[in-house]
Amino acid sequence: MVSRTSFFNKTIFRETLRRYWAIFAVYAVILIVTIPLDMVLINKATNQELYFYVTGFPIMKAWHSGLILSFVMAAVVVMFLFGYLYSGRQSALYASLPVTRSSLFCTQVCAALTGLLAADAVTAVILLFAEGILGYIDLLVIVKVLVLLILMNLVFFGFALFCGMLTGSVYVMPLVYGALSAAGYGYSLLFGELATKLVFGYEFGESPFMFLSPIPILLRNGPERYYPYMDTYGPVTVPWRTLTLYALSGVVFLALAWYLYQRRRAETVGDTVSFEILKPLFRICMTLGFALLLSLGSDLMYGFDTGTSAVFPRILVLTILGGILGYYLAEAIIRKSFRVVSRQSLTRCGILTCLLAVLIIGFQYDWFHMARIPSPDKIQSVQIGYMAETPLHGSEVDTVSITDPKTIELCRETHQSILDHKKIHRRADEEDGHLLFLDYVLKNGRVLRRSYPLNIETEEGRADSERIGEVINSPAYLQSRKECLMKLLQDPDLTGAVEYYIPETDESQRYQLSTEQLQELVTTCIVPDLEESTILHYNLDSEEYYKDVYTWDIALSVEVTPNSYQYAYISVPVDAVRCAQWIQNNLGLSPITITDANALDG
Amino acid sequence: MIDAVNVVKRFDGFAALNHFNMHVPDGSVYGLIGPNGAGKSTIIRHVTGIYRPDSGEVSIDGRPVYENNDIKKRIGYIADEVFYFPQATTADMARFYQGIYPRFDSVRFEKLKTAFEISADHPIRKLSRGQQKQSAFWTVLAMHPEILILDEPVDGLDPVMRRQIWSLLLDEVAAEGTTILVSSHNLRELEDVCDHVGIIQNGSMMLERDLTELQDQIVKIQVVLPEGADIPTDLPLVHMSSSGNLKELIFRCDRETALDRFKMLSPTYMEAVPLSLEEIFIHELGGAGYGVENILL
Repeated sequence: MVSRTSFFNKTIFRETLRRYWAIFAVYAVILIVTIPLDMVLINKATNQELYFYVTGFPIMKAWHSGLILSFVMAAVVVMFLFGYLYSGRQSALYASLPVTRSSLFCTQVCAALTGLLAADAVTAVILLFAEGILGYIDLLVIVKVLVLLILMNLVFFGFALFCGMLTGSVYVMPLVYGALSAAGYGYSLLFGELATKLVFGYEFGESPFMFLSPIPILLRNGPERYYPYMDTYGPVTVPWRTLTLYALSGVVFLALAWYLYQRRRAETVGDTVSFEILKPLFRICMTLGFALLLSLGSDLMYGFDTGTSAVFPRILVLTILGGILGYYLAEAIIRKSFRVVSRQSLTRCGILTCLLAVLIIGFQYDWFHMARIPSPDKIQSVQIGYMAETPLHGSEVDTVSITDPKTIELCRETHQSILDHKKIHRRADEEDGHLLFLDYVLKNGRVLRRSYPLNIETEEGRADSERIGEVINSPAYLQSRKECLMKLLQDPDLTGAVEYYIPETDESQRYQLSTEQLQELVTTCIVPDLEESTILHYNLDSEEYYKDVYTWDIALSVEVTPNSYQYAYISVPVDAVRCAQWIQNNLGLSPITITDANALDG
Repeated sequence: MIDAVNVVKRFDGFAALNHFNMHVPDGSVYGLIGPNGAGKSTIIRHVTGIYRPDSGEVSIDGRPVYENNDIKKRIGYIADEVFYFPQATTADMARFYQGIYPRFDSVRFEKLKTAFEISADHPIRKLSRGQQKQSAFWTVLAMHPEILILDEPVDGLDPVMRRQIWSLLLDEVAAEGTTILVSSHNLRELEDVCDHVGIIQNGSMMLERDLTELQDQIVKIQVVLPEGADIPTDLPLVHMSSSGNLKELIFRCDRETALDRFKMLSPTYMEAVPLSLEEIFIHELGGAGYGVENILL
């Protein structure tokens, strides 16, 4: 009968900390230099507002530096504390001890977490001293920094340990950890890029697997609030929910690592893949990874010429070559030998590269219906956005959602026309900046996202541009835009600015509106002008339009979710008398139309 | 009793142990002999609980070894490549084992200091291979193990230290009844110390024997017979060679039977000479069939 023992062995715990205390000391020193010391030094050097430096700075620093540091430290701690798993001699030493695997695992996890948390705690204590030096002690901030660092340690340590169980090589461990940490992001980047290149107009959007990459997600959802139109930071709020969810996932990965640790065989030391069952997956990932890397890497060499007919055959050939290379590299790594060619490996490699070829050909000829226009009965609404260059500066049509069936049909016809002129539009120079965005929101909840560069240098291209003009000036679209703007204007967090062009100096300027100014402009000018529909029309490629529009834009924004903004740009035509008058009176700008400014500019 | 029953272990499809069987009696010194790559270290790693068999069972006193702390506490193990923490000294390792093995005896550790030529405070990694082995013996003997498992234990030791180590081990057996399982690729190295041997080849146990029984069943007689006297045909002759009048005869029978039979022939000279382990295997077991040629140096 197997004996029951405790899950903790104090000798191994003590020995582990005694041997590896220096790692945790280095971690603590880096944290101290990055958070409390930096806080004091920057405050002394710049004499910034003390309140922000004590309440916001440590949390922001702990978030950004702590994130990267925790990520790196997790790998380092696993490589050292569990390093015996990668050395035949050390692995045998531990396995021969009268200590169960569960006990060994739990003891070393305890030792690792003790070291990491001790470093976090020391940082918190030094932060208290730093606050004392600055003369403003806020204990809540210190607790927040401490909890934040602990949660980050949990996020990454659990995952790093899980990755550490998958391989028997200390050199491969950080690669596996890095690759799996970036898997969600990498998938979006590579797969999305490939699909976007081959499927005209296809927009990958956000991968459903993006959450698998915690670093970009956590960096994006950081605690700082930056208001771009005010060029300032707001109060620092930690996204605890996101961080806690990731920390819980870290605990789940710890449990998985425990499970794998008990099933891991001592003889797999030195193997790239520790579990037999994972070897086919490793081959597939290497095949796919190298295929995507080589095919997309070719773009770097050939300069992203998506419009040429050479793109498809080049990507096809390089994908297949990359797939073969990846497969045999995986095979060589698994077998630790270059003698990898066999009937079995040829068959497997052949199947995988055929699947890759089918994928690429499928993209090109739209076998997966990725470029399709959805049928009207499936569409709930369409969001249309358009970016173009006016004669003077960039302009953007607000993204507005339409539900009117007639306008949706008009939109579909325009979409079909663009697809019919695919060869022409694919040659569009993206520098021209004519881009159409279409988001079909389907009744089943899915969103089909498309974006098309438009080549308006040709007759067909200009015809498509005019069709788009018809859509965005259709009554239903304008009504929808009006409703959107009205809703935006009522938002209490609305911020605004006036962007204007100065012909004398040939430069654009921006005037940030105060809350009171914005309030006055909205209530006395924008809303009445909107009611009269004088500030709704666009006609982005017409001189007739430009001669009646001033060189001013009213830029509005609202933070919808943390760090995610809804924007609206309102051009000011000569008909919008109230808005034009207000801008002249309050900002002292001379009324000049785009056509006139263009003439002055020569 | 250490038992390995029908143990199979495969590494990437290669069968390192193929339905391997072994039975080590309590208190015995069991020599596991086989050529390089035969599977000696693999079975030893099963007996020490490092490897888990793919099938079959490795047990001590009827209890499986793998993940069994009660059993593993009784085992002292010295691998072919000595285990130690990278920066550790012998004293550090002793301190570590003291916390892990309940029978570790620090007084004995101090006493053993005189038996070895190394300092307890010297980093093990800076010691020579032979000195590292001494360090391992020092700490393991201080554990008072009931079972000592030694994988190529005296490789790298000079002859004096070899003798000293074996002397310490045999004292241990005598004093505490320790069971020793020792592997070697060299038959001659073990013949003076083992009372049981097992020959392993290609992952299978070719044979295992009690050496006393084996030696009781075979005898070598050197004899000069009078003119006209013939070698008795009623004794089972295994081997015969002659040098002038002196005949060297190996019979598969006990010593007394052979001597009594020859006394009846009034030999000019007669002596029963002990067989080396090597001779026993070659003549008793047919040698090459058991791969003995690979374990003779």
